[in-house]
Amino acid sequence: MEIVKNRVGSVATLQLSGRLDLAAGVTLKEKVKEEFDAGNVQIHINLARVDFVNSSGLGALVSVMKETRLRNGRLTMSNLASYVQEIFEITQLSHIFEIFPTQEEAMTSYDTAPVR
Amino acid sequence: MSRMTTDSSELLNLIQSGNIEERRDAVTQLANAPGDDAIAGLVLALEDSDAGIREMAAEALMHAELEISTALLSQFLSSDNITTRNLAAEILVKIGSGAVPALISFLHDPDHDVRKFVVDTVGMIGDRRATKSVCEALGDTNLNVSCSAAEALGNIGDPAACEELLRAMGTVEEMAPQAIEALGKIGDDRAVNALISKLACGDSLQIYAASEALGKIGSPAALRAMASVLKSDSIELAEEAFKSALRISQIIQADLHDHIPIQRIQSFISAGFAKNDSDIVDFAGRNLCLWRDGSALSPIVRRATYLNERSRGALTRQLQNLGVSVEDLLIQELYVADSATKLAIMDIASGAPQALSSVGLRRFASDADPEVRSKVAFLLGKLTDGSGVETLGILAEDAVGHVRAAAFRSLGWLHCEGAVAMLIAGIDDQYVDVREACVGALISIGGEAVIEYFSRNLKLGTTEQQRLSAKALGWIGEDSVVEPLTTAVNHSAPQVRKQAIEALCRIGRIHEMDALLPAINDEDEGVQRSAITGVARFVPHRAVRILEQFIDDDNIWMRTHVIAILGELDDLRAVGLLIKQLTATQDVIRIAAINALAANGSITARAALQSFNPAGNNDLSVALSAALARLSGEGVYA
Repeated sequence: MEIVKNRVGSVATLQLSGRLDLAAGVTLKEKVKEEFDAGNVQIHINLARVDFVNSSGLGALVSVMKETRLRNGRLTMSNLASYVQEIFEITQLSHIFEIFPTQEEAMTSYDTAPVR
Repeated sequence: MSRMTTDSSELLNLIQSGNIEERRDAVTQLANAPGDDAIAGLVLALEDSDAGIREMAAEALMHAELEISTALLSQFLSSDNITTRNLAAEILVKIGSGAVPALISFLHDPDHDVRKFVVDTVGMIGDRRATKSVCEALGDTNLNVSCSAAEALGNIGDPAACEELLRAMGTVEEMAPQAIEALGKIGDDRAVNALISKLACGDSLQIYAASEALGKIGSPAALRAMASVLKSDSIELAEEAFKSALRISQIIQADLHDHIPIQRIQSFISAGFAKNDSDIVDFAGRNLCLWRDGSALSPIVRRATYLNERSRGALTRQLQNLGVSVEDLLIQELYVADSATKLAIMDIASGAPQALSSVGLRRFASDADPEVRSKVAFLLGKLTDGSGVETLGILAEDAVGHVRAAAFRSLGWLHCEGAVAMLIAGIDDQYVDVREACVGALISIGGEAVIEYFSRNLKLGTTEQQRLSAKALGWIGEDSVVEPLTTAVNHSAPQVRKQAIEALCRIGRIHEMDALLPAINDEDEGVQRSAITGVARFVPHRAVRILEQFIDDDNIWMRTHVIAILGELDDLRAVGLLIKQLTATQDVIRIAAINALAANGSITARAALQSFNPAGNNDLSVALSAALARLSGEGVYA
């Protein structure tokens, strides 16, 4: 699995490509930890190029979410391919992750509008 | 049967015939016969006793590209019939600016109804060239006309009318509300001071209109003046002022409390709370931050059912930033709330998991309402520290099925390996949603124990258990599930073989695909089709040779399936096979080939479709047109 890191404003974005399985999950957790160590707790994961997720991959995503919440941060995800979306629906994990159709929409959600 | 005639004078006679069919026929022909006589006939038909004929005539006039002459307008205005007048106004508005000069020429008509009609219609057209004339009508001796003129100026929206409207507002008391409303619509800053002074005029109608108008103009100077109206004894006035102040704050992108003392807003909102005014509760929900000590939280959440979705979301975000512990307050309210309010409060808290801890939620795990218990299970699943697992274990044994399902789902979200045994037991639950929740949770948790359970079931369970186990193993997708699935490809039950093949395809490890090859010749069509799909996807270089043997299969559905798969292959040999199918005897095969060639999209496939002749076969023509339309604009490969 390839992971490309980037920043959009205060949000660290990770673009994943390939299969999200046990080994890729370990790499993902390491990359996110690097962001935590650098003080970034707003994490976005773009899954547009992920064509396979298994239980270990889901476990890695849940683990990243737990760690983010522990640090009072926020985790968002976007661009789930139909296969990936299906496993999120079967496991109902879509209820606990913040999932957006596109990365742009996820980024917009970080811009907290002033309350009127 | 309708009668055809081209004689306009005869048509004009027919328009007044006692026979409805003849009149309808005449209108139809007049609509297609340009000329003044035809127009006159259509205008006459606007007064027909039959509503359908009136509408036909109006429709024809709207599309007749009329030049509105004074004479024609006289004909429009000669009717006392209100329906005809309304139709005439509709036609004139549709014609738009072209009708304005003729209309204005009637502004001094002796009949005040005609003058009012003109002013109203010009206002609806909204052409600024009419501003000056309509301003003059503000001084009309008839109050109906002058008030309509004020309204029309608001609709026209020309700032040039501002001074005249201000003068009218100050001099003719009866016209003031319309003039104020018009000034609000025009939105010119020059009106702000005069409108602010109206807030203290003592006439509630004018104060209400001035508040609304200032809200539309959006001047910061109006905000402080609004504060005085918030003290009004009239709730309606105070509410309008508050909502206008809110609109202004949105327009000028300012915080309301920077312009109006917070205490004034708070006391106004307290009054709104007492009335359970949903708009005000909603505002308070979005602006909890106005009470820095969080003291408004209780009255707001007590009315949580009044909050719309946006405000619930805003309140959730504020809970996270409030800086004071909200849990005790929320728990207090949950204790006294009815079920609907409890659910609404929990809904708000669900976006801010820290707002309610597992200790707090546990108290409601035995609530009398199963919806509340189900929501508690849902919220506990969102507490990623896992502190809710023990309570979830209790809820997983609830008497109500959907509460158990919610608890099992949450245990899956928490990746709670300790719950695997309980989840496995839940697979035999009598309720399907509980069983599905358990399977979903086990897929999510994965791990050795889960894989071992499903693998054993795949070997030893009932046929249905074996089918479900194959499916679950496919979703778990770990390396260790491949072997039991590969074995199951040779299972005696076709539904298990099919599921095992689909599971292997889902996992998509290419070196296991050889196991699918024998299944291509399976005795069961469903198994065959799954195997063919898998092979085509994962072994595309061998796919054409394999698929070729099925392209003339006796089973027509197998043939269409194979044709569709060939269309997806990036292989010119596949295109050749598809082109041959264009000459098949059955339409369904030829249509499948057309669609597959369109899906393929190669130059050869395009050329084949472009030269294909459907020979008058309607079904083929429709499919071909759709295919060619789909291809236009798509990229090609050589």
